Amino acid sequence: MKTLVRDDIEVEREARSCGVVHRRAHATVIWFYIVAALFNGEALLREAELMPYGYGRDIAVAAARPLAAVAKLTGVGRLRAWSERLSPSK
Amino acid sequence: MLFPTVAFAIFFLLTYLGRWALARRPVAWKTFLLTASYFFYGWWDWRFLGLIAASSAINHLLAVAMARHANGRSIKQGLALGIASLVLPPLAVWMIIRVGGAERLADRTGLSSAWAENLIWFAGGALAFALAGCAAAHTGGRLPDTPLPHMRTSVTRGLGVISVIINLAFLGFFKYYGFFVRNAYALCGSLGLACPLPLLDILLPVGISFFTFQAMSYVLDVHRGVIAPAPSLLDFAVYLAFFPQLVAGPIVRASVFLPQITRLRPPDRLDVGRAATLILGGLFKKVIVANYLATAIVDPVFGHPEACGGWDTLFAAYAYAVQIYCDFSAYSDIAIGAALLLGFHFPINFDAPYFAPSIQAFWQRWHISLSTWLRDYLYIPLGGSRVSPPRIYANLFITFLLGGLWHGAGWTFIVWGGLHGLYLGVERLLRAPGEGPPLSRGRRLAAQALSFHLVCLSWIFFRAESFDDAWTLLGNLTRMTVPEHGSLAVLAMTAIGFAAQGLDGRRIEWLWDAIARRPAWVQALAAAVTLTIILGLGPRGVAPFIYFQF
Repeated sequence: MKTLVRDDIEVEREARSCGVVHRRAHATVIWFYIVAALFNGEALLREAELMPYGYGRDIAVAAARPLAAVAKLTGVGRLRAWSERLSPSK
Repeated sequence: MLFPTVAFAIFFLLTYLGRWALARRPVAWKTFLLTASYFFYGWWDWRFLGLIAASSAINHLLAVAMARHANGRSIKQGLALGIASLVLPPLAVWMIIRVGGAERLADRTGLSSAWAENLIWFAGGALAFALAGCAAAHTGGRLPDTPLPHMRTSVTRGLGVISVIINLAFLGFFKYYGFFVRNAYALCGSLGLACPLPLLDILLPVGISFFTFQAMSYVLDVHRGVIAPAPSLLDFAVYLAFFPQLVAGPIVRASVFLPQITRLRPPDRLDVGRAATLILGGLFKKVIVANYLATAIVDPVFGHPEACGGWDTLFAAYAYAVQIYCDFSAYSDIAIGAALLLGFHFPINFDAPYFAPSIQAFWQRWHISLSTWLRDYLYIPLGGSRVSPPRIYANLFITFLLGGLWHGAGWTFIVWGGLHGLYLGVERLLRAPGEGPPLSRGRRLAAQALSFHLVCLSWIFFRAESFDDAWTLLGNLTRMTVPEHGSLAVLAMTAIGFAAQGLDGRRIEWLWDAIARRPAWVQALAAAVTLTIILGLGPRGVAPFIYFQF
């Protein structure tokens, strides 16, 4: 097993300029949020509808409804449905 | 606000965008990060914001006073101003509320009187914090930006002692008061005496053990001349409250964090590949493995040990070892990954601990930030290994007893710590002097298996609700009956969780770099698919992380 010198990971990776420039990192993060929201749109709507009645629920449902609609229309919600069917916990 | 929730996802996105939008304005982004961190902490219970703000102000004032004194400057004025700034605003708030200020504010604004009172307390707290910051910056001249070599005078030592007493008083009151009073009642009862201490129902502030240890390490490092004090209260407050590690660690040292927060430019590159792997790997360990093992076997067996047989107890002991690793290392990984995306590097906190060939090696790989803290601020000051052999064993034992107590106010935690102290003592006794020849593959495997089982045995005390339960569980191991909770699925998930140690350290560095080479949309798509599968496979709703209670 490789012995690891702690704290050196960062120093070494910084010295090797690992990672990506900020602009690319920001693009990745924003794309990730958009795609993940679409993939999980229907589950988000389900979760929002289970919230107790009030402003919070209204906002969550209003935000999740278009995501769920797009997910259903394009079929990207199937990934979540498929993984839920395989879940050992549900 | 738990990590694997929609609320945290939205909070993190807003914090990420704000942090990088303000990246060129240091005061603005630090203020923004502090506000975000306090919002994150206040989400649990906003009343404890005062505690963390007070801890920041008091510890920073004391560290600054140390540096000033070591620099040959007077500290009386600064300390007097600091104390006044922390005492007078709360006093003023108390008086305003006493003379009906909250009701008048409620009448004018339409708020309820409870909210008006809260608002006045919040304003008073913010004022006290700002004034303490001014007091720390007061008395002219710059603070030294390099550590001072001659910090240890009687005055700086006294300031250090005051800081330790205040920090331990916070921790002792909120975390251990109930424990000590219950034991005092039991002791007095057995002696036929009346216990004069009142029983109080004290709410434990989330993460108090973590931020208190961070604050103590800061003041002690300034005292030892390891670091210079933070340039401002804002810098120190961001360090103490930085949200990724605030409630369950890792215990990041000021010497690691402050240089990153005080540098003028943010890092040029962000290690997105590593951050994504850490966050998604952490979510996998927590949402799928830890949650499943908790509900399928650990909670039923440890909740009703008398109703279980030997096989169930054995499976539950293994499963708990894997559950606590997957739970806690997941929190650390997500914290490290989130911090990376915000431009901060934290040292790793876990490094495949169950692959360790000895208990000593286990503690070099398990909760590394705590074990190194205990080593540097408790074991070494007690004399460490540079004293007579009996003292070395006593130091080891005391360190681990207190390490156990740090985890929770209960005798089962103390026994857990004591067992580890005992293991380490015996290991030291049996170890041949010098390095010795490297272990053969077979002997190494045997040593790994023995260490793992000793750790599993100690986890029974750590997880059991009481001593009686722990003894019942150990007794169960002598009667092997057909398992009710243990199943192939449980065994498979335990094995998967055990194998997840392969994600620790830099074992998958190739993957971090491979991810970083892909276009942004491919990285985003891969991460979103992985996240969706993890969330789909996990249960509905997520249990809090185990280490939140510590």
